[in-house]
Amino acid sequence: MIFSNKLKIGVSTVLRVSTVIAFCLFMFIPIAQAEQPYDITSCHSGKIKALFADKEMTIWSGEGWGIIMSNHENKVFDNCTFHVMTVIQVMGDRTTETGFLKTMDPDGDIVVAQTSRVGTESITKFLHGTGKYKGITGGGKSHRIVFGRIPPDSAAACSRGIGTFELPKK
Amino acid sequence: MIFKKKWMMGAVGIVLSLVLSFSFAQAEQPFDFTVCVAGTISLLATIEESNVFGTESKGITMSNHTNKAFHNMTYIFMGVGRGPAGKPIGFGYFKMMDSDGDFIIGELSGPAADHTLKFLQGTGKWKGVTGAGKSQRLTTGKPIAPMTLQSCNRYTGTFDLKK
Repeated sequence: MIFSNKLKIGVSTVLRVSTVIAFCLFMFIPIAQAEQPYDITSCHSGKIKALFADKEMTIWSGEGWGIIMSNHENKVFDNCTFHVMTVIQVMGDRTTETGFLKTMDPDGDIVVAQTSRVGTESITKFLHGTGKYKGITGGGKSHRIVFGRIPPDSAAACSRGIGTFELPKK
Repeated sequence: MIFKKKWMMGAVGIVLSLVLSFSFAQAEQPFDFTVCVAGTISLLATIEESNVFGTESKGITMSNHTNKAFHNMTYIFMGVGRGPAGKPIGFGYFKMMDSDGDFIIGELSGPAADHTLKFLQGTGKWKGVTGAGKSQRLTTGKPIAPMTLQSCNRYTGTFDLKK
């Protein structure tokens, strides 16, 4: 009788633990399926316009156009073109940049993202998507690889960006 | 006496060959770089689905080689092209400028996806530059705005700096 009760308690415990594990797996799998990594090199060129400049501070607006190459085997965002508009502030040695970019893949689907840069490091946050990117969330960091001014009013740069994004489960 | 003279001539020839080959090996260097550009297209005419156009694009280079030749140089291209959309054959000139302001002028010719590069002249540290290479298209994106282009190409070849 005692043995039977112990068996029942044991089975019950195993069932409860199994349920918890199954629940955790159920919760984890959809997230794991939705979250995808990206690793890209993005290059662009464009124009900058000075809004204000003196010895202490300079403010520019920038507008650029470019293209993305994926470095990841999943080829996420490979061959996507983009249009970026930013505001750049230089105060002493510190350069900050804030802006938005519209990225379009070869099918014409779009991702809108916000970007903010301090020095050569940027943070990107996905805000909106159309088509296959509808409901996109996520973001990442990027680091500038090359940069150059093209006189009189242009500039070009390439950055490497690494991060993750999620798409709602269909 | 004749044997000694022949031996000396042979030795001089060997030394001369070594000197020549050494200086050649020093001068010729490989390059392997990627250039990404964004630019505009001005359509001149469309005749029987074939476009005739001018283009101007700006961008920057990244070297893929350990020697880092032509790394981080800004790039401007001006050219003309003719052919069906996506498969034009073009010709034009480019200017690649390093952070010191020294630059190279070169020409590109051939199909957009598979063209040739030739260095024509340079200034400063690039004075006397010669060389040539071929291209490989890396990206083929959909233009982000009408009458614009965004692309990356990889160029491989060799160059000389004759002092």
